Amino acid sequence: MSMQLTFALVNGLTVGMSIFLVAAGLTLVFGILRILNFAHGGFFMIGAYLTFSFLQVLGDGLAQFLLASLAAGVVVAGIGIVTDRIVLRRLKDLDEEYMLIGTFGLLMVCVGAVKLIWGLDYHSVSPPSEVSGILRFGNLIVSKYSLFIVAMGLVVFFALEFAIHRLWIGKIVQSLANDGWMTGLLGLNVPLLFTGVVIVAFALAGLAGGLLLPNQSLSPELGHAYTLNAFIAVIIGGLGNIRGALFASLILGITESMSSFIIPGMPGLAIYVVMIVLLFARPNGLFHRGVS
Amino acid sequence: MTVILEARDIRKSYGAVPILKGVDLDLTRGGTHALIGPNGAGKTTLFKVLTGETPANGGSVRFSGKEIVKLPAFRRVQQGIGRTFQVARVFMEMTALENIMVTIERRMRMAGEKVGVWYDFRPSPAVRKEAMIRLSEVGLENRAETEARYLSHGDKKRLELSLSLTLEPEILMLDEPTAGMSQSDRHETVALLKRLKAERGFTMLMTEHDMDVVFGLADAAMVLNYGEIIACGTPEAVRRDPLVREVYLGQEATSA
Amino acid sequence: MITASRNSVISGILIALVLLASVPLWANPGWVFVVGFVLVEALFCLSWNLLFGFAGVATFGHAAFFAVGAYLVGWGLRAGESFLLLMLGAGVLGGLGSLLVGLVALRRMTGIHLAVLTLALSEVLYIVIGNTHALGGIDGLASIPRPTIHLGLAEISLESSDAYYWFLLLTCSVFALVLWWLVQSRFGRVLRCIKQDGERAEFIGVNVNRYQLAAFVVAGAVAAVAGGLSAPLTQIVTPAAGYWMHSIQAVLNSLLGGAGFFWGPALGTAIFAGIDFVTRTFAGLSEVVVGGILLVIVLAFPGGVLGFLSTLKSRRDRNADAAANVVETGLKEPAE
Repeated sequence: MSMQLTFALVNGLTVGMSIFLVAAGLTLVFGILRILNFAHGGFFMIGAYLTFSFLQVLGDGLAQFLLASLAAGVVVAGIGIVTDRIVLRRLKDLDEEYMLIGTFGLLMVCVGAVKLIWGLDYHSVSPPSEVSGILRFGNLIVSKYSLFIVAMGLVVFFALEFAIHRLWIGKIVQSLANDGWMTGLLGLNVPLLFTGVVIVAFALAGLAGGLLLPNQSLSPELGHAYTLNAFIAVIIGGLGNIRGALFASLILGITESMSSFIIPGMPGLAIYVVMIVLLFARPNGLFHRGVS
Repeated sequence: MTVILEARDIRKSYGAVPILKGVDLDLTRGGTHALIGPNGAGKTTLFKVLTGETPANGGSVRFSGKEIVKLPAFRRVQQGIGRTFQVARVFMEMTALENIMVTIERRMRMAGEKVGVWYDFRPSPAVRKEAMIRLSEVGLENRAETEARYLSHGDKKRLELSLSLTLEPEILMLDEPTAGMSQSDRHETVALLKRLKAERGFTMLMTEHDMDVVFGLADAAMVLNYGEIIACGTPEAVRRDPLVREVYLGQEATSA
Repeated sequence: MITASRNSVISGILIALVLLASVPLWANPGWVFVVGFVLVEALFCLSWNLLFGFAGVATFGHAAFFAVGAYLVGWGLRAGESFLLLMLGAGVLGGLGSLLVGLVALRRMTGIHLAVLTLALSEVLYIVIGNTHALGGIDGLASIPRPTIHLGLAEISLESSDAYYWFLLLTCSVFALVLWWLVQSRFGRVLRCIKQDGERAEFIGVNVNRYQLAAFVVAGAVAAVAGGLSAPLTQIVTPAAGYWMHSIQAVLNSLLGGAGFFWGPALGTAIFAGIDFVTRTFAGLSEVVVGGILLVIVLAFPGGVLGFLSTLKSRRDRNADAAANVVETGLKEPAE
């Protein structure tokens, strides 16, 4: 039993990190642009499909895999620039509900485009040989790919933390989040900064799509599945809060993998129960500080 | 002179920042009271606490002898407290007439009067007629069929005033009734308020920046500074108060 | 506020009713089924838009109430219960369910939080249904019989597709008209105040929470009725009835048609069905088209199709007015 529990915990950590990889870009866009981008999962999915196509050319190997994922991130970032120009910027001033619906339309376009380009077939990709297989820690069996995902999640988290809290550019971005008009008054190019944030967020979505590609079936449904979980993580973590997103993602991941213990016979239920409880307990998110 | 509204020891803070530090305030029935003070003194917060927009942290507000400090805003309205907003707030996608008609129906509902048959599609002719009269009182009879969002700034303010008075409040609280108006509009508003007040006899409390408006309308003034009332009395007495001159009136006092 | 005159609206409704009633006389059974399906979905969307378009509350889990009605009626018909009683039960259950959700959520949450909360609640129901063997699990309840209505001595059999279609049309029309009346009534006028400015509504003495709760209950009950009607039509009920995508579909249909207009959601449902039909053979194209249309609507025509048409109409009227003014006064209006 305790072995099972430990296994579920490790598994939950992996699921949580996967959610975080998607949620990170989502919360970043919200923090700066105040747009809840329902389509984020769609761009994540495009990243996964792109990586899939790149890997067909590049072949097996960790280096090739990382290269393909990064390339997917770059391409998705490029799509992001266009999307920002055409859509996101105009959504900024609308009501929340209309933003959700607009970005949902965007998600539909992503799904449709994927179906048109890559077809309806399911694909699957194995992890690169360097990170496939398992490790044994005493009785505990952990897949190398799980560790890889956790490591990648941590890399993304610390990179964002460092950029936001330590670097000069992060301070500007923070002031932008608080008051875009004031930042503009200081003579900074606000639209350029917005674009920069969008590029980072979309690149993260594409990269996450690549990194999480192995060990799951690649289908046009992928976008929906990840959107919802990442969305939940961002909301209960506190909108626009990277640390909150990480924390909430891990809670969700562990809940998900423990759900067979918590509510047997109802797979997937626990995650929503936790979310509902948290929404009532901390409506402004776990990491919200006081009232404004 | 009876007191209609009696606030005692009102306290309110946002986070650790105290905005109101135990404010006492009396409104006499039928009086016109002005709440003045420099920016950031807590006027808006006090206003919000009295109308029920934000809950107070402590203290009591008695209206005609009844404690109302815990009541939600709509209950206070039902008791007879009406208000206007600094930037006029009306139902923007309804015509001026519809704005007043829906308010008349509310008033009749609250008074337990029969509003018309339940299956009616639109307000009864009696309601429509009253609404037209009320619009003409504030000079909007020609804009009755105009959607509120297309009204000018001043017309919106007039519509909101009419809307608030339609509820026949005992106290009308006006949040900067002349904010953003030109000098001539201000004079007009002062005259309008004077006339309506003479006709209806409601009690009035207003916050106002413009001293001409305050001295033209109010028969009592209260000065709020750093969350405390530092002076109250007739506008003349308040104007002569040395403390008030120091913190607030400044050059206006010398020029007056 | 509403540009079309009441008479033209009423005659439009009558023409639509006659056209819809005649469908089984000239269309093949496949079409009758499709139109019946669109009618049920249209009623479902109208009930959602009572909340969004008129009470100013956006929920993203409305399909849960639809599923409640569908499963109750599907399960009851298989057990041989009375259809009318089941429909009544569906309405009551839907109303009670939304009363519960509304009581818990409306006072504490608004905007995005309420949207996400209702979505999560509906997902809970979806997962529970999909894992309950008594309700057929993920496969749902199949071979639901068409009912016969017992009215004292008379018996009306709805076993034929056409008979059931007419019953469905009648029920949908009655409920849609009740909703329509509700929106125009005093209750509806207060809801409109709340939607336009909730705080101002509070300051004309409206108990905003209570009104929104009432709208919530009505919307939940009507959605459950729509769900109940769907069970004998499709003769199968699956958890997909309560899936979040179904809730979102109501949102999309309403926005496409025009959420500010009572009949907007019904029109949107019909247009969506048309797009689906035209693009059905190209996988992916329908999503691109629908998604693109949604974006255009949100960005350029937030009033939906009806909003767009009414802007065109009012622009034409204003031009006509302006021309008349010029003639009358001899003065030119300042350019806009």
